[in-house]
Amino acid sequence: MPSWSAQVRVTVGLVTVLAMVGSVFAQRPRDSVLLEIGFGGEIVANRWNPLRLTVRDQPNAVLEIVMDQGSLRQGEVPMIYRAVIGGGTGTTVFEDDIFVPAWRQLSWTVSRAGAVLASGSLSSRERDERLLNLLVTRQPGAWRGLFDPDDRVTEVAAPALPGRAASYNGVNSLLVDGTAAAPRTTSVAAAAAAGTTVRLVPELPPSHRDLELLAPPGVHRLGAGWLIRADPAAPQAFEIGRTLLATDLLTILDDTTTVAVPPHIPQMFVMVAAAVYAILMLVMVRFFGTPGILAALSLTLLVSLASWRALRPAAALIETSFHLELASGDLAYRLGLRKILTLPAGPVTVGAAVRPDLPRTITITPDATEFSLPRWHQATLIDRPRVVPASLVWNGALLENRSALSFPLVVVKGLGPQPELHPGQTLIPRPGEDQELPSTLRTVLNRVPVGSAVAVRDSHLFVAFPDAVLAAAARLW
Amino acid sequence: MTLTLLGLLERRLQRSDMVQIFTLSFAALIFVVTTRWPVPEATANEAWFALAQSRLVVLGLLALGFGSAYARRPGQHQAVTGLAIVVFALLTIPLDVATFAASMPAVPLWWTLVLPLVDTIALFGIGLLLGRLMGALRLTALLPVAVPALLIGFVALDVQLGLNVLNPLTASVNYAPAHLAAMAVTAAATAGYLLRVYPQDRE
Repeated sequence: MPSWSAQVRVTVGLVTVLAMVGSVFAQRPRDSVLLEIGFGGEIVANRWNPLRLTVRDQPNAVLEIVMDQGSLRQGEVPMIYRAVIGGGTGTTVFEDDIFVPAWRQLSWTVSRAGAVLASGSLSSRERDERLLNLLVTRQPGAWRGLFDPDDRVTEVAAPALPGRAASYNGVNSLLVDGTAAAPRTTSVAAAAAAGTTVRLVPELPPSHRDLELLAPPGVHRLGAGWLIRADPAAPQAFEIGRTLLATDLLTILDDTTTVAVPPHIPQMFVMVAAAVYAILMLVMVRFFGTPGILAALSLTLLVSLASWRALRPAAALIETSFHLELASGDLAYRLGLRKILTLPAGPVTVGAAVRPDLPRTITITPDATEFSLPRWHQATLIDRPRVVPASLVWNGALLENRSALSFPLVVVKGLGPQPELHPGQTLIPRPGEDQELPSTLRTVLNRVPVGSAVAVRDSHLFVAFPDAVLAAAARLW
Repeated sequence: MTLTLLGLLERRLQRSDMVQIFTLSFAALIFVVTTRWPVPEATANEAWFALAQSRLVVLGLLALGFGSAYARRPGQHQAVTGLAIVVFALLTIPLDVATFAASMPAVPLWWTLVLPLVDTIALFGIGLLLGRLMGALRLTALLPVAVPALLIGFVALDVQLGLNVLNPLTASVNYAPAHLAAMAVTAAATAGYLLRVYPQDRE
C-alpha cells in the first residue's frame, strides 16, 4: 500500500501534467478568418457599412454575404455581396464598403473550392437602423452623458476608422478626445466630408498634431459635414443632420429624374400603314402575275428594312444618371443616382458597386453590380457615396468654380440667381433678379441652409455650403 | 422548270380562295397589331408578342388546312399550294419586323424570321399526313375540326409534358431550339417529299 506522501506526490504530479496540457490548449490559435461588418460589430441597416475581412494563412477564397430582404409574402429577395479574396501565407486584409439592407436573415461564408472556411449569420432581431455615434477614447463613460438614452454609441479604436467616405454613411457623429491613439487625418476628413459631425476637444495631445491642422479651433464645414473643435459638452448648435439632408436631396433627385422612354408611333398611323401595305401586296400578287409576285417579295425586304430603321430604339438599355455634390472646404460628398430602363428582358450589369432603391434580387461585387430586369422595366440604383475635390465652393465670401467646366446657372439662397461662373472664376454674389428656376433647383433650394450656392450643369447638381460665419451673415442678407 | 413553277404559283395565288384567305389573314394580323400597339403615353411596347403568336397560328392553320385538304391531290398541286403559303409567310414578314423592332424582345431577329417559315413548311407536311390519315379512316368531313384540334393538341401535349417541342405558341416568342430542330426535320422531310412528287406528277 503506497504511503501518504507517495499519494501526495502522485496527485501533485497529475495536477502538474494536467496544468501543462491545459495551458497548451488554453493558447488558442487566433482565428484564421475574421469578418467585421460595421463599427465594433454595430451594423446600421439600410446604410453603407465598412467591411473588413482578415484571413491568415489561407489560399484564395470567396467571401459571400447573403442578405435576404424578403418577407413571408414575397419570399426570398437576396442581396448577395461576393468578393474574391487573394490569400497566401501570412495575413491578408480585405476592406470594402457594403450596403446592408434591412435584412430578414444575414449569413456569410468564406469558402474555397466548395469547402467552407468560416461562416456566420445574423437574425433580423439584430437589425438596427439607428445611426451610430463613434467614440475614439479611453474614457467612454465621460462622454455617454452627451447622448440620449436611445442613441447608439460605440467605442472604436482609431486604426479601425476607414479612410473611405461610404463607411460613414451610417455614422451620425465621431468624437475624438485625445485619450486614445490618434486616428488618421484621412479617416477624420472622410468622416466629416461624408456628413458626420466630427467633434474634437480643444486641447489635443501632441500625438494629434495632424488633426489640429485639419481642424483649427472653432466650427468648420467640410464636405457635407462638420468639424467642431470645441468643448464637446457645449450645445451642438451646428448639428444639421447631414445624412438626413443628403438622403432628402437624393429623394428629390429620384422624384425628378426620369428615363426618356422611346416614343411610340400613333396607333392610327400604324394601322393605316399596315393596311396600305397589305392592300398593295394583295393587288400586286393578284393582278400583276409573276412580276407582281417578285416585286412584292422585293418590296417586303425594303419595307422590313425601312420599318426596322424607323422603329428600332437607339439602345436596348437606356440609362439616365444624376449626381449631387455637397461641398464645403475643399471636399465634396458626391452622391449618384442612376435609372436604368431595359427594353429586352435580361441581365443588367453596372460597372460599379451600387444599391437598388427597392428590395430586389441583386449581386454586388466590389466593382460591379448584376441583376435581372423584366422587359421594359426600370430600376433605380444609388451609387456608393464618395468624396471628391469640390467643384463649386465658398472661399470666404467668394464663390469659386474649381471645375473644368462652367456653371451656366448658379443660385445663392437668399440672394437669387448669379451670373454664369466660368472655370477658375470667382464671384462675389450680389442680389440677383428673380427668374423662373427649374423645379429641381427650386426644391433643392428649399432644403439647403441660407447662404448655400446651388448650381446645375447637365445632370449634375452642385451645392456649396457656406461656412459657419458666412451662413450667419447670409441670414442677415 | 423555274418559270413553270412561277407560272403555276402565279395562277395559284390568283385563285379566289387564296386571295380571300390571304385578305382575311392580313386583316386579322393588322387587327392584332393595331389593338396591341401601345398608346403614346404607355411605357412598354408588347405588340410583337401578340403578333408573332397570331402570325404563327394563322400560318399554322393555313398550312395544316391546305395540307390536309390537298393530301389526295396531285403532287404538283401540293407543292405549289405549299409554296403559295410560304409566299404569304414572306409577305407578312414586314409586320413581324416592324413590331419586333419596336418591342425589343429578348429573342434574336433571325428567330422570328426563320421559325415561321420552318413551321409553315413543317405543318404543311403534317397537314398532308393528317389528310391522308383522315382519308384512310374515312373521316375527311371532320378535317375542319381536326386541323385546329391538332394545333391545340400540340400545345396541350407540350404543356402536359413540360416540353417545348411541338407548341408553336411558346416557341414563337421564346428561344426554343428543340422546337426548331423538330420542325426543321419535319420541314426538310416535307420539302424532300414535295420536290420528289412535283416532277413526277408534272410528267
